Amino acid sequence: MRKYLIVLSIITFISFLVVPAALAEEQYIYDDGELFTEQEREELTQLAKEYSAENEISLLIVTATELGGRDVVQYTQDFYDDHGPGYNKSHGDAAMLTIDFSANREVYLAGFYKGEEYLDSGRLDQIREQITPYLRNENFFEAGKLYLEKADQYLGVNPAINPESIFLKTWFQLAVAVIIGGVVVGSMIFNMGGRVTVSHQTYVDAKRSRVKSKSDTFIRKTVSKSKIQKSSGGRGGGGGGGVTRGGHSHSGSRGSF
Amino acid sequence: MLVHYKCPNCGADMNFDSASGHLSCGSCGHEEHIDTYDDVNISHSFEEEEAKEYQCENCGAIVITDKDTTATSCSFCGAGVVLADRLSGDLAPTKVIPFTISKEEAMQAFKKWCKNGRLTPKGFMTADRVKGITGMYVPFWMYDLDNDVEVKATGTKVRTYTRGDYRYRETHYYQVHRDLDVSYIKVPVDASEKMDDQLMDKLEPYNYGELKDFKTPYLAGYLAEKYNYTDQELFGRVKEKVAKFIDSYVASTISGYSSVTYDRKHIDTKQRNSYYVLLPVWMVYYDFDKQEHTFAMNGQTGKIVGKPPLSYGKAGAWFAGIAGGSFIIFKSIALMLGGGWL
Repeated sequence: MRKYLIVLSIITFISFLVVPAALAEEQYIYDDGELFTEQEREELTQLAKEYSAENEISLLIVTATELGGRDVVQYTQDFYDDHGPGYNKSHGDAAMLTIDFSANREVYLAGFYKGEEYLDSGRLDQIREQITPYLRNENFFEAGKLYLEKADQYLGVNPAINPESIFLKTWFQLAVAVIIGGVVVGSMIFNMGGRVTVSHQTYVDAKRSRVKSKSDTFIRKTVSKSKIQKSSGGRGGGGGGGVTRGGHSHSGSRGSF
Repeated sequence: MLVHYKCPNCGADMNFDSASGHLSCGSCGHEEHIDTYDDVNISHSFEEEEAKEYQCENCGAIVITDKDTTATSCSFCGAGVVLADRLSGDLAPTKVIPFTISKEEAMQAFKKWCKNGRLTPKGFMTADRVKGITGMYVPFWMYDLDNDVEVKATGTKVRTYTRGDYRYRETHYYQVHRDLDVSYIKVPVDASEKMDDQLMDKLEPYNYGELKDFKTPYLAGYLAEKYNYTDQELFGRVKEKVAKFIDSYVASTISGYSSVTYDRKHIDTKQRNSYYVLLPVWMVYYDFDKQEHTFAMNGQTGKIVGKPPLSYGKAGAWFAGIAGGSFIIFKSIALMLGGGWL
């Protein structure tokens, strides 16, 4: 009986710790730059909240028109240190999209902890490349929405593989499956009437067959060279990532629009 | 000339027995070894000219034969008869591979084969419409061929390496020259006009260990035909057949290259020997869906060839199963790795 009481009290204690955090309305969209309308902000918040809960990570969008003399990377790092976003934990797993709509027109994506693992600099580059066209047209709402959707998608994919890999595309899987089926059934139909089972060795007279003379003469060689495409951004930070002043390591991808 | 094989024991007609390889008497069960079978027991009946009708000396009925037939059975009394004059002189086979599969075994094997048809219609699988099964010695020419092969080719070896920021692709070109002697022994080509060449080619290989000197008693009880084409006439076919073998042989002597392109290939094929042989084939005639399907079975190894009817439903089901199955596998792997549903 006493055991149960202890367990019960522990559960109660934990729930007291958890519940207030869950009840507190977490902010996902920090629209200091006022790039979204009220309705858009609400919609993005809804989306961010949903995807954040699903992936147990905080997905943030930060906009600004005035960075106080800092560059977009510094601004993002300080924002993380100051606000300490994270899923159920301060300074925890998070991903951020920072849009700097000052004269610089820059964008920075960062991933912290789980975000750094699943949204490494390479993947953030991929997201950035996809949202840049929207940013260029100043369609910030679509850009933000796509960022949330892509982040949600990539967070589900094992960090070892490319989330945009053709092997993960349904049309490709379907096409390969159809080709396999076609080839297998085709060869079954082709072989229905019996196969030829004699080879060149069946009738060969080994005693009278021989190589009378053979030569392999080197004539010439050609060399072609091609520049190695630098793969952008190493995994786990590298490339566009860094460490905040508060000591939080992160991945990142920076670009202008 | 019609030849009957009489049982020295009871005087009934004897037939070749595939199980024992001897002549066996259907009435008393007496068996005679072919090599020791006494010529006294062979009864001949001569005809004045090469007619298409013979008189069975057993029952007196007229045995009507095709102009190519060399062995048949009297359609009235069932006695196995051999038309010896069509197997003599130029028409005398040198070798024969006797049947090792009896009619019953052939029928069983064929039924089993039908049952395993993965793409054949259901009605076909029961094999209950087999119209006839005929044991037949099909005339073949076997060639011993010597080939002088000369090949000139260009081979490439490719090496890739990286140095600094560049990837290098180094291709070495070699001139490849081969002078080969390639000999083939006993390459068979069917010499019967009636038999489909492709079907006969697929029946191979026969086990040449069983190749026997030809004796007419082997044919007793079976159908047999004489050749329609001489060995010279079929030389082109055997050359064609052997050319494919030579290509593979040549390829096997050129190794270690990333790619090989042939610049010149000269094959000089000489015929060293040719033999006229009779090979055992069970022909199965099957009526299905108002169509007659012909199958051939190697009378020595039991290999069955011939195009069975295709069930589109079954083919579709296999396709759906394989394509669907692979799609499910791909999708589950993708989902496991975290790919989405779309």
